Amino acid sequence: MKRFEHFNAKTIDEAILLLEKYDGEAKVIAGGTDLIRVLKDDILPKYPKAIINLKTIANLEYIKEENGVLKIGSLTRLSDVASSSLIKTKYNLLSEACRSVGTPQIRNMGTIGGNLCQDVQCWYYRASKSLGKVFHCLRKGGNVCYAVSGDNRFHSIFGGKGCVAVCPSDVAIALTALDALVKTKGPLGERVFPVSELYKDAALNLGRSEIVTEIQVPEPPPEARQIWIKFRLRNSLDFAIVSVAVMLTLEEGVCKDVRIALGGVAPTPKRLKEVEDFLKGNYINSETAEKAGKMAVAKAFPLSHNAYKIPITESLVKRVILMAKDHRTLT
Amino acid sequence: MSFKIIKSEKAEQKYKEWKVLGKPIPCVNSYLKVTGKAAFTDDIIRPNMLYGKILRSPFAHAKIVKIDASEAEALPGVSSVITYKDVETMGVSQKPPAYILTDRVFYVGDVVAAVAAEDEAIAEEALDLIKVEYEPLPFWLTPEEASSAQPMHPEVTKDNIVVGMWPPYYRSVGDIKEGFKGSDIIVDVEFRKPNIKHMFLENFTAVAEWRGDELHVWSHPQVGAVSFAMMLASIFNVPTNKVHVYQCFIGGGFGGKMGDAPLRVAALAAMLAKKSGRPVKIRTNIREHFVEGAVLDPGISTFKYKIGADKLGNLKAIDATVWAGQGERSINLGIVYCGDTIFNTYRIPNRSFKAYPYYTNTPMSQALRAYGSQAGVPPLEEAVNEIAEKLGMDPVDFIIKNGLRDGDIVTQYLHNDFQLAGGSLPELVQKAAEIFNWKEKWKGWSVPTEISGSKRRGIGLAVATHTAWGVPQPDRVKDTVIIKVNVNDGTVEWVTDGRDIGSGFDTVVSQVIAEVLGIDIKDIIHAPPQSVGQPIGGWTFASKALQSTVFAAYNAANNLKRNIITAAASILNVDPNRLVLDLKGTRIYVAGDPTRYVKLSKIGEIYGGILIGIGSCPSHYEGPESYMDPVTGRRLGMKGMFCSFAEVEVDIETGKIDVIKLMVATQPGMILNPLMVYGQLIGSAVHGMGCMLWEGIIYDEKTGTPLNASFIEYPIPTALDVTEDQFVCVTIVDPDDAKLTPYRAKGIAEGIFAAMWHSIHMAVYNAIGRKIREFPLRPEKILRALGKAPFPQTKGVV
Repeated sequence: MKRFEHFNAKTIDEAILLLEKYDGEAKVIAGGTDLIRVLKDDILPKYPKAIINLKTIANLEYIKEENGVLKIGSLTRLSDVASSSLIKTKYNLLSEACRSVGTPQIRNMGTIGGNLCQDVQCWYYRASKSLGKVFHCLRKGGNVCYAVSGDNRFHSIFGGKGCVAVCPSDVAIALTALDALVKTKGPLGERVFPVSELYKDAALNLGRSEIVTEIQVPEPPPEARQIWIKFRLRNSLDFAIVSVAVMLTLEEGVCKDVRIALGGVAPTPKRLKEVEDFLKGNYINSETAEKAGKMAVAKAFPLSHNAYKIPITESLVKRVILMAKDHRTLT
Repeated sequence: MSFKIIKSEKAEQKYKEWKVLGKPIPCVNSYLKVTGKAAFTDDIIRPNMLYGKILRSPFAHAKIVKIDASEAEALPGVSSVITYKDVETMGVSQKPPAYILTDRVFYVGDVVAAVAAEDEAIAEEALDLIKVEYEPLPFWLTPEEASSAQPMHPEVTKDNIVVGMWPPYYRSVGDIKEGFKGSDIIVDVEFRKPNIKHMFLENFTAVAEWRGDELHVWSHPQVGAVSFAMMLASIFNVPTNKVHVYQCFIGGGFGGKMGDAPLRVAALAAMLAKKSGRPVKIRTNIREHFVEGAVLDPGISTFKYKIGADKLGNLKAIDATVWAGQGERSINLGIVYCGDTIFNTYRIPNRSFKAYPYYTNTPMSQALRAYGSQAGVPPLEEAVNEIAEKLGMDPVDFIIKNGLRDGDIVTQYLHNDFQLAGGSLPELVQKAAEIFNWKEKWKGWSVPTEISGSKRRGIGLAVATHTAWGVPQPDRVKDTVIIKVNVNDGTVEWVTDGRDIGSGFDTVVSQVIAEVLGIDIKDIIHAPPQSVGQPIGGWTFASKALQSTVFAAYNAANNLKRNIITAAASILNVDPNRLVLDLKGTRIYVAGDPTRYVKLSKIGEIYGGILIGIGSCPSHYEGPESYMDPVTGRRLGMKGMFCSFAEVEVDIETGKIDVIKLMVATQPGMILNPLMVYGQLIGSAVHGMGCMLWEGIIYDEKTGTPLNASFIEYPIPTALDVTEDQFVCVTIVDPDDAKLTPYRAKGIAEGIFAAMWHSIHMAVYNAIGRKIREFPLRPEKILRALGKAPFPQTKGVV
């Protein structure tokens, strides 16, 4: 790592002021499980001049329910979200997604806000100076996405505006299916908006000095069935090759409401609106589930190395719907 | 997990004779290691020490046209910068193709320059200020490309064929033409393998310090401290007795800490230290592990095997060729042992092995949990399986018919052939198959044993043999052990030129000494190796420590004991056989009459104040008469025998493979420490599982950059990827399986890997009925084989 200034922010406002002062040349740190890698690998076009520690800010680590809304402070650790009995009971999708992140050590350090705001995993973007080769790609201000013409087996099958890296956050996928909101604070004050709007074109859609402060999840109907599947090489710590989050409400076998989000396949969390519309009002059985799987990938256009994600996505969407119907959990 | 030890009567008898050996004694250094108190190289901090960082090449092959380090040198906090221009002025000798620094770079990440500064942050910033102008040259990653490329090292060879051990890379026995003529069935199999990595936790690190013309180096080489000092002495043209190498604890090696990578990092630190006039530490990171360290020899390879058998399933002939991408240098020992697999796994009367090891633009190739024999197993087993399948034979029956067994002749490449003394694949496979319940589970070739929804289960097995005797070693690395007894309290220290790489070396050698000298293992320590003042040793590699270091320790302890007893007998004037050595009581007394004794200190005086025992291991290939079979008059030798059974479940919709059961089995001779054997069996099996399912370096084909160079991107199995009941380890324990060592034991850490990984491969074939003649078996490959999604053939296979 190179040299940088380090600040322990006491309040969000102080952190915002510092971000303003450094005008794009500072980074905030919480658990640091991603940022430290970014700094060690020295992949940012400009090495940050300052690191602003958010862990010293009081009252940003909480899990509470208020008026039918679950509120999680952005500094809450993934392990705490995963093990919260409140979340396990009512928002199990989120609990499972958090549990599938990284390793126990990473979950003990990593925060929910940090998981949402982590940088992409594209191996061209992440190629480090320690290796010798750095790819000056689109994300770094270059002209080319090296993944498009290179080895893109972990990249998007639903295109992208230039960069074809996928959204790396498991939490974002689960929160998308839960219709959650994020609350942020910046120089212009606070705002609250859907998690799905936090991302744009494989990047965070935040102002330069804006910080995520809270996640808000509306309480799902008690009869809603929530399933999370994360497909990866190792069950221990890999990023998702494909992940699926589903929330399904049935009424006598008929789909009353459904929300499905895909991860690992697109630059942002991908809601399957068309599939949802198809399922609503239909009986959920192996036929409709299979059709849903097919619809989910109908518009996929794979790159040279990632066509294998299509059958995987198709199969997982089908499974997740049937698992939700049968009240089965992960096997 | 379970560990089955099946003992013969002879084995039971031996265990009864032993007091310390055969017992589950925990690693002697485990307390230090788990409490973080063991001193690894990175724990070494010298007064006034600087930190070094390495600038690495962005090109896979290039000439450095211009290099300007003046801005870096001017950065406050920077002490020195070295480039190839410093090499000559510092008197560093360079032998192609093994450069420390030169004006050419041979792969992405090759060393261009190094900086020493007050801290790592400054050193890193200085790297950015070094201006380098490259002239990129054509590069190649595969042997196929190498065969038609310009020579990479024209100074040593004109045709890109690696200059290493065992040219001309050809060996044959019998007459393969006749063998194929006499075959009723002949198959051709082509198989490919990627580059795989060691992935140990401790990255390459070194501390170097010059005290006048003395060089002091702290490092973690798998070669002994003395051998490492000799290498450094030759690089810096200084006398070997002025190079002090302190061999620290080793944080994993698997062959990757053999000579070259630790040596280059140490040499760079020493060059920076010389130029700065201050001690320098270099610690590389995980990314650098991929470009500083080696890959398995043979590297990216294509195997073409032709094999013939008669109608009854007797193998008649094999014609095997390997095209290997060996990286920018190699000694090709892996290629040699790849051939060893072909010659010495099955009884095949007519055999031919040819190898074309090429220079390619990747890091060098080296041992990885064995030199090459594991790489030879999948293609050989693929070929043998295809024969068995075409004949409709059960693979267990096929191995029982054809497997190598006790008394067979083992063909060697660098040394004389020998007659196998103990160990037998047919016997091992038969016993293991019963435990696995093979006959009940087996439903035929390419038939799943179970189908449930999209899940297909399949079973497979594979066998391997591996050196259990050490690879041929030059005289300078013969094993020696010196044991010292402290006469004041009877405690014992021993020293050899080698260090534990995690296989239990320190513990087992201490057990041997404890057994001979009749003391508690707690009263023994292994003195940390340092080159000056120490004997040369045999390194910790090639599954050999259990034979040769144990042999040397056995001789040293017995010599020591004999000297003490002989002296005491003459003082007490009794028959030496009546004396008891009581080190803890610091005395030697007459059995049955403890009042008649002589003090240890008295014996010490007789021997000039010091009690020392020295022992060495007889050279493996010119051993005593007992190494000859009295009946055949042939020289005897040993080999490890390994087999593995796997049951997998493949999801044909997603291409995911779950390993349901893995059972590995071996004939280790006697087990000197069951904890170590169990640890090695499990470790080797899990390592092999990861390589078969997931691992392999993925290169960007346009630039030659390794893309998955980290623990998150290069997926090795973690503790969370294996479950309690997944693994079964079986050992068939009989002293006759390892006749040539004092305690009838042989090394097992490497061979299990070789058998294990192909058993998974066969099980996957039987589950999905598609042949995938490469690995790793990632979902993209499975789905391609099933025709569900295209996936391009990548350079380097993965």
